[in-house]
Order: sequence, then structure tokens, then C-alpha cells
Amino acid sequence: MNEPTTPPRHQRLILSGFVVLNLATVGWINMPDTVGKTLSQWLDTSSSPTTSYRMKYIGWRWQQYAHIVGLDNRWQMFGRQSRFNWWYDIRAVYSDGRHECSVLLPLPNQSARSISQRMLFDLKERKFELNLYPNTLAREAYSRYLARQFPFHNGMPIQTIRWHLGTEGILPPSKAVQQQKLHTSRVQLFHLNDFAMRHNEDSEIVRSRIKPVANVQSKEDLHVESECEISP
Amino acid sequence: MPLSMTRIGVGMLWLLFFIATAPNWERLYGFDGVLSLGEKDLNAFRTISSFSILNWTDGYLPIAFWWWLGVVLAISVMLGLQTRAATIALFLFVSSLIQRNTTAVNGEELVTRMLLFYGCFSPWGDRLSLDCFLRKHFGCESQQTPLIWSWRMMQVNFLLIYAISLPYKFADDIDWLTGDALHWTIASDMWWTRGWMSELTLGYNGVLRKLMTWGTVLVEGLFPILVCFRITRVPITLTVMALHLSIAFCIPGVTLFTLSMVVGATMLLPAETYSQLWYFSSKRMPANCLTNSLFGTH
Repeated sequence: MNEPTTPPRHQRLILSGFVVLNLATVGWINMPDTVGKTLSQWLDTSSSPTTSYRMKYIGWRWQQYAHIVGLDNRWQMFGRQSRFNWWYDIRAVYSDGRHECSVLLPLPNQSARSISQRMLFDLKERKFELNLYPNTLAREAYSRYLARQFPFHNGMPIQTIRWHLGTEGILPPSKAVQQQKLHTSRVQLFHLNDFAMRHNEDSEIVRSRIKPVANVQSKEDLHVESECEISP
Repeated sequence: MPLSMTRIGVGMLWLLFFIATAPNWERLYGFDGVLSLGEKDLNAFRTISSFSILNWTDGYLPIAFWWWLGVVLAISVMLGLQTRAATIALFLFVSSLIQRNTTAVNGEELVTRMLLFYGCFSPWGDRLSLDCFLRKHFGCESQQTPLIWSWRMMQVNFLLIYAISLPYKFADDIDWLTGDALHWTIASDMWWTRGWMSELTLGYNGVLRKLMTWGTVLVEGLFPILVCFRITRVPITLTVMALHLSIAFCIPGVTLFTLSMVVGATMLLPAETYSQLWYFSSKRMPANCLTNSLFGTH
């Protein structure tokens, strides 16, 4: 084995600086939020506005560096577990003025899937839905994509992409062991968003999650492919 | 050699990633995909970072070109062909994918991007690579042993994932302490196949679930410490690998992420372990030598 060649002093200094910078970056990015807030408040109260601004500017630049080199991850593996099961029910509403149809869209998490799709090609779908959960803007962007993919149904143009959120409670551990089952027998459906797809209308964002629009015994009872009605 | 194993693993994972995303490639990353760049009024850039080659080249290059390029880069990294250039290119490409569609990001991209970042500076193409083979074949092998600082950085950063995430686990969910955390995972429709192995949490009065939860916490907590000692390095690394493999088997939604953690752990095994596993698998070494190598006394 050859001996490692020792680099010149200035190169060693640069390398050491780079190592310290990256380790400090990982530490800084993963600090609890309260530490950042406390530090910011302390800067505001104990230093001049100029110094406070400069320090915050350095912090912002540091975060930008972390973002570019990909060290801005907050490492939280399977931290908080959800206490209920949830899923989206995404439908396209079509209308020609007389008839209106609400069609369950054939999306990965709400249609029959083959084994290869379940085991390999749909690997991103669950996380994708999880990432949409807190992000209304992303849900609207996705709705517009769906409207482009499914613009007509039986000759009727698309009007709205309608999002519902289905929920099913999970029994707490002790109750689950007592009752020897994992889930409650109450499945609820909440209206989440209506995104209008006509160009002259703004999207209507409806939040009515307090009142469920459906209460049933099981998830399958909600699975209606298509509902059509004739307007009076 | 451990670093080369990590390189091969990263290349394989990205190849698997590209195969898995092939049917959804245009949907996830295309110009007119789920986060369309054409929706000016929606201002999709509020959710898309500008640091993405895919955004800059829209209209000039078809999105399928990037898929093929990604496959070529992943194979180059895996085989160790033009390793340094391929690693830098794959790092830039992975960063672009992450920043093109943040809603499609999962843990595997983040962990492997970190490995690729340090890989840009590392000598991970010096062994088990086509570059190495070609250098030997043409007699132009380097006489210098490369510095290993980037390898150490990769190891430290990888171990920090465990050291950082464990306190957050306790802070975010008390059930990691009470031993009930895995109950919610097993009952979850999102991560678990409904009803599959529900005995793990419902059976034995919940004792099995508690043992599994505490076992996970114990392994993740001890890993960054025990890996520092020669005698415990191999057993704890293999235990962590087994833990992640079992998660990959049980929870399909995080398979690639947990496999990326297995790939990361490969750089912590000593070179002798690989050599001895290789000799053992080719039946040239008795079993007691393997046992010695695993526990660091050989």
C-alpha cells in the first residue's frame, strides 16, 4: 500500500475549513426551530439593527449554500406517526349545462393496480400524496394537470376537480389489543377543495373539514366510480 | 473497497429509481407535469426551486432525454466508468430532480444526494471499477494513495442521520418511548398492507410490538456509538442493515429509502469483512474465520 501524500499547508487549511463548514451546516440545519427563534430574538435585543441584519444575512446565505449542495435536509426518520388513516377521493366534475357527472379519476391510489405497479412503479405515490397534504397550491397545480389529462367525459367538458379526504380512525394500542382489531368502524368523508377549471373563473378553495359529508361503516361504501345527475 | 461498494450501491439504487419512475417520468418531471411550468398565474415557482437543469432546458430538450441521461449516469457510477465526472453529473442531475418537483421527493433522493456530494471529492472509483481495470490494463496506475477525508465526511454525515433523528423521534412522538410507535405504522393504510401481520401489534398483549419499537430505538441509538469501536463495528452495522432490509420488506412505500440507508451503511464495514465474505461465499474459507472477521478479532 502506498503512503498517503500529505498536501501542502494551505491545501490542508482549505480542506479543514470545508470539513468544518459542512459539519456545521448539517448541525445548523437540524437545530430545533426554537433555537433559531431564540437566537434571532437575542440578536434583535442585544445588538444594533445593522449587526442583527448582517448576522441574519450570513445565516440566510449559509442556508442557501446548504440548499445548493444538498445538505439542507432535516433528518427525521418516521418521527410522528399518524393517528388515523386517510386518503384522497379525487373526482372530475363534467357538465354540459343539463347533465352533470362526477367521475372518480383512475389515479394510482384510487384504481385497481397490477402487482408490478404496486411493488415498483407506484413507489412514489404514497409520499407524493403525503407531500400534497399540507400544500393547497400543489393540490391546485395537480388538479390542473388532471384537468389536462381528462378534459372530457361522454362529450361533456370538465368543470371542476373535486377533492375529498376520507378518514378512518386507528384504535389506540391498548384498545386495539382488547378488541383485537386495528381500526374504528367509522369512516368519514370530508370535502377538501373544489378547483374550478374554467379559465374565466377563479379556483374556489373550500375548507369544510369540520363537518363530514359522509359517515359510513367501511372504505368500500364510499367507492362509487361515477355519479351522474340531470339538472332541473 | 467499502467506498467502492457504496458507489456501486448508489449507482444500482439510481438505476432502480429510474426504472421505477419510467412510467411516471413525464407526469412527475415533465414541463406539463404535475407542477407545470406553463401555469404562469399559479406561479408554480413558489413550489419549484430555480436550481434545476430541467427547468432551464425546457423547450430545448425533451424530458425523455433526461431519463436516458440519468440511466447512463447511474450505470457509469455503478460500473466506475469516468467515475469522478459521472458522480458530479449525477449529483447535479439528482439535485435538479429534487428541485424540479418537491412534492415527489422521498428520503432516498436526499440520502443518496448527500452520498453523491461527498462522492464528488472521494476516491470511490479507485477500486472495483472499470477506471481501475483500464488503468491497470494500460499500466498507468497512480502511485499515490488518495486522501480519505471525503470518505470520513460521508461516514460522519451518515451517522449524524441516526444521531439527529433519534432525539426528534422522542420529541415528536412519546410512543417511541412507551413502545407503541410501531402500532400506528402497522395499522396505517398508507405505509402497511392492510391487515398484514397485524398479530405483531395485536398479539402477545402488545409485548412483541413494544420489543420491536424499543429494539428499533436501541439499534438506531447505539449505531453511531458502537460503530466507532473495532469489536462492535461489524455486528452493529450488519444489524442496522438487517433492520433496514426488514423495513424495506414490510413497508413498500419506503423501500428505496431504506435501501439507501443499507447502501450508506456499506461504507462503515471494514475492507477485510468484504474480502472474507467474498472468500467465504466462494467456499475458500472455513466458517470460524468468518466469525472472527465479523467480531473483529481476526
